Amino acid sequence: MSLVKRFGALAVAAAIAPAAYAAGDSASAKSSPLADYSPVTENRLKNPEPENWLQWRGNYEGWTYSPLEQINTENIDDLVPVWSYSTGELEGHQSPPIVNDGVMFISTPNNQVIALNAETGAELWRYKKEIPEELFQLHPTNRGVGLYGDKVYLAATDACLVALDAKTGEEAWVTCVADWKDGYYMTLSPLIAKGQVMVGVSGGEYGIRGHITAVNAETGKISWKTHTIPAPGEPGSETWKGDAWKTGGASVWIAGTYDADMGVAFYGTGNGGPWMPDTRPGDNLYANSVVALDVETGKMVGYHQYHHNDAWDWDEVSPPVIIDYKHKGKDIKGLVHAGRNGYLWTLERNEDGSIAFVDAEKYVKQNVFKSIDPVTGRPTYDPARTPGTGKTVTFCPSLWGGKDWPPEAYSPKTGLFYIPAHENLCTEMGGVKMGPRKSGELYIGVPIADILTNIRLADGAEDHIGEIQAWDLTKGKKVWQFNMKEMNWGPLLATGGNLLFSGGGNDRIFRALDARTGKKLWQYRANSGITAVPSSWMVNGTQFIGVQAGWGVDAQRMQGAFDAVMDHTTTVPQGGVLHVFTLKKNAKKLMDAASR
Amino acid sequence: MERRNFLKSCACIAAVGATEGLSAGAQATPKEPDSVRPQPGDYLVVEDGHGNARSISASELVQEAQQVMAFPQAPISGVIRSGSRFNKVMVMRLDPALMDEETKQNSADGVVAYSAICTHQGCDVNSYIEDKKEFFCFCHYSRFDPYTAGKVTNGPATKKLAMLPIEIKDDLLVVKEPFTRKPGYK
Repeated sequence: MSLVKRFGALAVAAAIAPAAYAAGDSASAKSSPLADYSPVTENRLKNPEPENWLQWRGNYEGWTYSPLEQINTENIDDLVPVWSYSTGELEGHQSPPIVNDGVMFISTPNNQVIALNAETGAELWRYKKEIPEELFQLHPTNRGVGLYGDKVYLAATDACLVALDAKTGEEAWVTCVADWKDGYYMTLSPLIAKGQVMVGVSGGEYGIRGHITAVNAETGKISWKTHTIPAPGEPGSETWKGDAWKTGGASVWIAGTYDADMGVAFYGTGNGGPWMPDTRPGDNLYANSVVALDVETGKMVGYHQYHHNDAWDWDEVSPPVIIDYKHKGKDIKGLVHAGRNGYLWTLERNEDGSIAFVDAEKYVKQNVFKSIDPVTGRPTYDPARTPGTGKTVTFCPSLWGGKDWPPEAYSPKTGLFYIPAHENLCTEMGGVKMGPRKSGELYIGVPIADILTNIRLADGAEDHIGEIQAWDLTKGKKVWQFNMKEMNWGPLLATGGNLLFSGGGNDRIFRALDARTGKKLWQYRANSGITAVPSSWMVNGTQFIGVQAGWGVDAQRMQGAFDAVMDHTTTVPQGGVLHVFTLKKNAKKLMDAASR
Repeated sequence: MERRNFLKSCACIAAVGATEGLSAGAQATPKEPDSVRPQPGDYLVVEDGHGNARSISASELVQEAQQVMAFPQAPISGVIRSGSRFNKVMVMRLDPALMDEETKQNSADGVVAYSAICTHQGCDVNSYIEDKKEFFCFCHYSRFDPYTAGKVTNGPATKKLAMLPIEIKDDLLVVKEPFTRKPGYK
């Protein structure tokens, strides 16, 4: 483990006041916001101050919404870059700037955490976890740190949870929740509630058995571990045959959302593994589901399986967003999920934690489901669109789904739910006979070369593929749609200024739309493609918008697939840079202050 | 075929004798025998996922057919060195007439062995594009030429693949020298 520090005299100074002097950029003990670091409490996570961004999607409900409105539709033309910061890492940057009273934390690929002055961009400290050189996995990224008390938590790719001292970046403890040599890894942001730091494991493509683990925030001791695939004899185990449950996937890629009043967390789960459904007959609970867990005990108190016995690599990795809405005149304590399977799912969370189906509506082309049971939400499938071992078919949406991992947003101000979507994309895919699983080796059952060239273009693809959709949940209607020529891997940020920020394309554009109409109001071309969650915060009366650029991982793979089937080759430069924006008048003040 | 080769492998274990020590040119190695880098005299074998090994015979390899993924196996102890994925190699038969001099020197009767670890970020290189005659890494699309000692033909990788010089004994593939460079990306 290492804390990367600056050199020479500064290193000596670090022994006296590491928080202030661990890094350069003319930070001083007096001016460092670390001097009065504000501990993060559960109450603050439950009721985040508008000026802060305390967790990866801003609040427990997963809204990715900032109520700040200093930057708004009226003055968006004055939004300018004010400072930037190179992370020194290639690959896909996906985490938001997480801000607590003037202190910013960003995480990057290769298990790095950087603390910055959220107003000036001065580096405060930098931490990088040493990872075994041999560790190899398909998603070298990180989706954000967790904050609690005076600590910062990082879920690392070696399946270990790291707690850092927020003031110094020094390790407080490291707890490993799985064995990376067996194909387990972590990329998600931790969810923290009731003193528990909850993380889940990826690795479905290696034949792992998914789980969610809670670790005591103070001591680092594991409190509970709940598998997303039941062992024989446990409820749901009847949906598996033989030993398939041992390697059945159901990864947990993304932090759960949390109903603090209920004490229940909601997690999305990945697809069953290997990919072809005939390799694991049965419904395969709790793959492709939302599971509800009591955060104190880990007990599964409810679930809803979006689709059974997956055949399409439609991980349902995103947790449902907690939104209360009206449906047919009835108040619903809701859960809303834009499924990778191309349907917008509306569910109801009951008092006991169980989950009821409310409705499902196609939001992109989907030719697999023939029907959806109006009571249970269970779909039926078209066999001609269901691949298998030795059976290649074409289906829509593509294996990357209507929406992959990038989070949606919800604005209580507009009442709209926003989805970053892929439309007009399909996949041609089939499985091959597999040998036995080898620990740490890919265990998919579909040739990699076929996955890389899976894309088939539907009618309409020439016009556009990427979309941002805005939905009125009460009416069950799409209100507006913004089109992008090619892909959209852009997480969304809605603000109280009626703005919707996102990147997502191979054009490196970071843009702001009018959240009410979808009209493009502003854009900025960054150094690289943007697939990270944007966030917003305020320091000393100045509102900022920030986002990391850094193209890689699945966006880059989709680009390769596009280049394989389209008549072009696209180069998207790589390299992580945090871009921070504010209004011109505030930028001038900050620059004047920095130069003094 | 599999049974014959497996038996052959066992026979060779007895015949090779005490030549299992680390070579002078061995890279810095982890301590566990199954993680030690390939040693001269090791056989190249295919592992079945249950700890069983099948040795690879030169005569089974068809020219420019998809590569066979293999690990070295210590001749005396029979330890399969699959404890480190950096020991994974790709074996295939090429057209000797098309090889450059370096490739020829490290090959045996047209058969070559390359590290299966991409020099960019350490992903598995486990595909061969037949029409381009190139190895392919699916993570970032780097490609490598097996006829020019693993030279990069398409980035982002910048360093060529490590070769594992081999020889053929009794139709079996045997490691002749350590990797030509440190396998991996650092």
